[in-house]
Amino acid sequence: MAELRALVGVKRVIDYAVKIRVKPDKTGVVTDGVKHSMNPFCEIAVEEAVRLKEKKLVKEVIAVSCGPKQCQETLRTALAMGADRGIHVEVPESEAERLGPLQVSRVLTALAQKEKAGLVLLGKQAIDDDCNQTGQMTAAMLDWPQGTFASKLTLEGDKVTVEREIDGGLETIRLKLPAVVTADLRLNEPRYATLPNIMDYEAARALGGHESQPPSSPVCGPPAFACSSLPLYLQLVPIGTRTCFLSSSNHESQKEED
Amino acid sequence: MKMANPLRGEVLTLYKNLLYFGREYPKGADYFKRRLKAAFLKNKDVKDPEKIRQLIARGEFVIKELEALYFLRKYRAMKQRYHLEDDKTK
Repeated sequence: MAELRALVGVKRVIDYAVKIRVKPDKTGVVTDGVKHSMNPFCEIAVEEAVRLKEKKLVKEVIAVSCGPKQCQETLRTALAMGADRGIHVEVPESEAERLGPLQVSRVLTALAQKEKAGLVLLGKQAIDDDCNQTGQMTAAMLDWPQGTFASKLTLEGDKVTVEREIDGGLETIRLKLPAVVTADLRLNEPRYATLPNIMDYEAARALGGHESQPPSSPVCGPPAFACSSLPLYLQLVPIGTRTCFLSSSNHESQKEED
Repeated sequence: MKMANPLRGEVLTLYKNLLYFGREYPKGADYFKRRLKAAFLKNKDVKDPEKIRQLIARGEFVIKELEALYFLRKYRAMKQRYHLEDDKTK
């Protein structure tokens, strides 16, 4: 029987189908009364962990979410998809917007060590801030190997083979466990968290299948918000607009205009 | 007073599950709820257990279709947002 424990990070984000609105003062987006759900890439990570458990390659799947109370909803979805345990690292709403990849990776590092996880599975990025940093920073802090943008994952003994989506192709790497893997879109097709499963979880929670972890507890260390970044200015750009590199001639013409 | 149909529980569960799935329906939860209720009401007088089982199976099929619809919708949205280059080459 496998002894491997998988730690899966799940983030609560504004639902992908919601049309987002920028706050009048341009410091953020409107979140009040807006539908939230689990970040799609985190769903893929949860699905992969649950599949590994179903193949008996992983013993336990632990879902973690950092943020305000409502994150429990996201954890509930993870549990309904098949995670065994949920850990909610509660961050008050007032501080939640200062919670960035650095802070979350600190928490994940502490929890991976505390829970003796052998595999940390995360989404490659969240669809709200699009940072794509948490997995990489967690790997660095734990000093574990990392397989980012995974589109295929194979566990064999203490090795994990990861097929990575890179520009113009795929790269296959083999990592020694413990390792951090971040999921790309094509890794799997996540199952839908069905109602009976969510209700089962409610019953399980009554039996104590859920725990809360305050962020300032000795486990996670100080929240360390000192080096968090806040958006200065947000702006909506129509879909289809692409970032492009300025050619040198553009630079020159710009200079001339200046 | 007539006895409750033994399949009553199954039908109720199906209705609940469909309601739950309808929350994300692209045309809105209300639209879905109305259609769902109408579909169930239409068959309220069906008494034949065999026929009821068939209808339940149809409801379960709809759930599977919805699941596939939601998955594809999300997948396409993600692909459009994060895999722009792929669309260009294909």
